[in-house]
Amino acid sequence: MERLAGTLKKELLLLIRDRMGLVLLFVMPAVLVTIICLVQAKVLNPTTRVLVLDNDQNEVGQIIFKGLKDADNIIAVNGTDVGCDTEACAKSLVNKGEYQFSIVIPQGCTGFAFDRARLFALGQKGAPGTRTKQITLYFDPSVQGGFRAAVLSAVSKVLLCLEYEIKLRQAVFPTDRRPGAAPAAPWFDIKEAWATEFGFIKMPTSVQQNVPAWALFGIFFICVPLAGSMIQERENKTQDRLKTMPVPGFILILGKIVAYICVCLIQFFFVFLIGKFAFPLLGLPAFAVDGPWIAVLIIIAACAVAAANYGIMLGQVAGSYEQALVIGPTTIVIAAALGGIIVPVYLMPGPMQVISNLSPLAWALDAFYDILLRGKQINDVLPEAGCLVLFGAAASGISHISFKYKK
Amino acid sequence: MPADDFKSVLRVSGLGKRYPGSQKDVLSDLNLRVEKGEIFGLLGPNGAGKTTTISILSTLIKPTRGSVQICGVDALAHPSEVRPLISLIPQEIALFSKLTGRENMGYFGTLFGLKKADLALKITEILALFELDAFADQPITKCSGGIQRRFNIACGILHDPALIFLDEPTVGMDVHSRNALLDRIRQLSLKGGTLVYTTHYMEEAEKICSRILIMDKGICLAQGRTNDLISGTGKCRNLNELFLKATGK
Repeated sequence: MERLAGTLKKELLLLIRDRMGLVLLFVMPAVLVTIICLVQAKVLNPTTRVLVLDNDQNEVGQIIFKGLKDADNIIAVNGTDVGCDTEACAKSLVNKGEYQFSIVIPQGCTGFAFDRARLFALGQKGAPGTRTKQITLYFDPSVQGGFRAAVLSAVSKVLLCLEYEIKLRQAVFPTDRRPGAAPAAPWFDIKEAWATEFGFIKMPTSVQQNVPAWALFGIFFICVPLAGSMIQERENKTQDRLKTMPVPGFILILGKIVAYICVCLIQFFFVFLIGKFAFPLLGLPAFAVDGPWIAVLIIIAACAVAAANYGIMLGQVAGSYEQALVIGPTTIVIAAALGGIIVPVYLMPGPMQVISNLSPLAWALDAFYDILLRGKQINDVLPEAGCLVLFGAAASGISHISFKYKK
Repeated sequence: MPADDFKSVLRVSGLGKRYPGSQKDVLSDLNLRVEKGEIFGLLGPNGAGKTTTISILSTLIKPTRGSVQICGVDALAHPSEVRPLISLIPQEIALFSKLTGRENMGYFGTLFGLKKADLALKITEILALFELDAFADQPITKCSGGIQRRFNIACGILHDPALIFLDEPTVGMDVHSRNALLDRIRQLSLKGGTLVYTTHYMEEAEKICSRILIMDKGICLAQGRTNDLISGTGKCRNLNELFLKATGK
């Protein structure tokens, strides 16, 4: 036990004194997670700023504004609240990029709508040239066609609903006109769901995707300094010296693995704290673990076991430090790409989703999805944790064979 | 089994080694005996088989044939019983460079099984013996080459090993540092330590080794008391000449 404690202390001291190693282990995942979250926040959770210039100042204008305000990911701003009360101003603010689009509701829209509804109830069409009222949408030229079509469709939907409601009210209750009344609740609700087998009960945000993903990437990256320390010990003959000492080899390896598992846990909490406390300061949602923390700890520990044993294997198999420095990061980046760290697995094409099952990072990330997005419990992450530990055991087995037969 | 019960600390007989896939022995029929308290020189040119011999004797690799007894224990059959009795000090600075000398000594001492209080006393004693007190709390990388070499040895003698394998401990050192280190090695021997010493510096071996073995291509060319071997040839003035003559170079 004292020998294990001594080895653990030695490894931790070596890690603490290796400043570049610490940068690699702690700063790299923290920077990566922050940058990727910021970059992807707009992709996975687009927020659109809309300026509403309501010249109607009546029921139609209010309903359109409310419809936009209630929509997901849209920030509707009333023109009068920002001192913009002309169409030219609305156009210019969009042109400057302050809003993705603006909507100009003409004066007298509500009166026009009710007049049209009354004529509809009487079976009349009205004079030519008075049958439509134009609502203008100004788009930022940089917005893409798909987005424009989606906005036009959403606005058309609001207007169509409004038109039918007013027509119905005029036809059934021609005298019961209540300007400003809230629109009736919709009869049919549309449920948004993912057309995949991932079973998410929540839509993943960029933070929920990236914090665990890049924390796991950082954990697996410990294979580089770990392999480096193994190779250094081998090259300066410290390993030979240790082999001739009255201490079983597994104690020396276990000491290393335990030290690096401690580092992995600290590394994860470091990234977690950044996600929780620094992200809100950067305008990102805070990272939160809604599921059981024990499950998180199990996954991180299993991941650390897999990564540490992979590092030991790399250190044993690689012929030189340079070789380990190439093989280590390359294999981790490949495993990360396959494992959904760079592009989420649920966004990959079908065959790639199957191949991703080979990556230990995919197992670990899937376990995080279980906790964060599928509302699952401790028992549900045990299979993934088991796979990670088995991966570590397999890597350890390869190290052992290589150690035995390498001249 | 206490080391003091045996006069011969090391007995080697018929030792041979051939690496798998090789057609040639790197070591053939090596026999030697090292007595308690002596410094035994294992000399030979590059490729002579010194490192292979040391590796077998220190339980790092298994020989193809032969036997090795250290303090009466069969080192090939029971390596784990032999390991507490020996110490391998490689020619490389086999230390953790980011740790201080004291931390390195603490770590190796713990692995040798020394208890905390004993270890602290032992570290103090060895630091004094090797005049390393002033450098004990510096990281190894900040120490000069000579100091690093002293720490390299200091870390290997914390447990009072019955047999120390010193592999070219003075390589790359300046004259002053080398002399200082040789003095310390002699002191170890005077305190009862037994050493198997390999070196390329013949004057060094002549100075400190009571007995030597000259080998080349895995074969023992000469073995005996250093002075006897030099004077016995009649024509050699020193070990350097004897070595050149024995190895035919």
